[in-house]
Amino acid sequence: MSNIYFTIAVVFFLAALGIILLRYWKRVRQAANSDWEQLLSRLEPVNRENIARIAEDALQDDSSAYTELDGPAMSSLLGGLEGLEILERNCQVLIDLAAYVQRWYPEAVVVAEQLRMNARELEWHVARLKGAAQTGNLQASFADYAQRAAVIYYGMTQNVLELYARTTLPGVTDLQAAL
Amino acid sequence: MHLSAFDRLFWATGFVGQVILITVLFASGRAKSFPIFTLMVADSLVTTFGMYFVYRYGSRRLTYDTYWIMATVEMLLQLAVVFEISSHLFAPLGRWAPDAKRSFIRLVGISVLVDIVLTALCSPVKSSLVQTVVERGTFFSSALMTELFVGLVVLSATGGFPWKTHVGRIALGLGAYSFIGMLNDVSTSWLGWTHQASTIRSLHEIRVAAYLITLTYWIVGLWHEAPEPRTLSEPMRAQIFGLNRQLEYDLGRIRGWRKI
Repeated sequence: MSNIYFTIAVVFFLAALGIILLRYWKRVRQAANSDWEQLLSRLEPVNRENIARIAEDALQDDSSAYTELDGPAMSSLLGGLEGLEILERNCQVLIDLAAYVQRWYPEAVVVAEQLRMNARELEWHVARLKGAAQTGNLQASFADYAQRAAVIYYGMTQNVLELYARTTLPGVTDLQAAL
Repeated sequence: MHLSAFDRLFWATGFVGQVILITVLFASGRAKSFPIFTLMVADSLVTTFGMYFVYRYGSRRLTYDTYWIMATVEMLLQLAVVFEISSHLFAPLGRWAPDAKRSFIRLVGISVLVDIVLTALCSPVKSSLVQTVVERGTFFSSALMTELFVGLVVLSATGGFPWKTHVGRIALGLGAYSFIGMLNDVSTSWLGWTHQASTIRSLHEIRVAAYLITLTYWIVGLWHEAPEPRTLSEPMRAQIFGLNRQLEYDLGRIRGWRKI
């Protein structure tokens, strides 16, 4: 009888492992085999002016400047939680773009690693925001986390654009439009 | 103990395959990049050579003891190879990325716990204590390797760590072989040693064939060179290093921002 339990447990376990493996292996292969145009096509449009406004506001040395934007205003500029999730997905694409440069130019590994770390940090902030949304504290939490996420995203896009411009890869104009 | 012509053929093919793989690793210079993997292949070579004579001329007790000592060493080496693969994957700057280190420790802990539970559930239709121990031990080993392989794929995909050519080939070979091994162990456990001897023998042959396919995959995959990287010009190199310094400065300001 215990063999039946063992077999059932292992069958479920293997099925779960198989599904997880297929899902993530597909993602790994997709990132590895993508060319420049395919990576660009995965980017989702964001309101770049709004992002820049929030980020530049936060980066100003004059501390009084960024107090103008409160939680609801920032939430509106970013498109709410959904807007942040778009940033999160775009961060994954930015990592893949950096990995593309890393594959062909191994010397760029330091910059690529910095970008990757920033994207993980942004993912963490989005996760915190999701948690706040679930407990009904989204508006109170939004100013703290969303502004930091916008700053990181803005910094990343600036750096990726500079990186591509300097490595003379094709498509910089397309990238500027998408980001 | 008696060995059929088929057994001897498998044994000889495995031995030749391992010799070729060792030669490939040293001739291509990849033994230096993957010293633990090379050690694991060398250990398999010694085991294949030694076990043939022990199995053929030794007593049942000697065969059992030798098998278990070598199987334990092999399992420890496989775990070390997983660590070596992870070091190539998650340390792009020569040291482990902090997020990867935490995730990897969690992965190993969870995998071992799940494995202990599954192995505890495994109660083979046994004919002796020895066979029970053999089945549980091999199941634990192959299940752990399968879980760790899947875990590495998940961590690399979510963390954004690209697979380098030869690291990917070593990991894929080890993961696929462990997966087949796990299926094999489950089937053996379910059927029982004494009751379906011919079926279990066929399953064993499938496992050996899977190992030979893995060996061939490693020989071919590790012989071929990775795609040639392009080189940066000096001005471009200076620009990228400058860019990185700027990024670190920006991040310092962001982290010091008083609202955070």
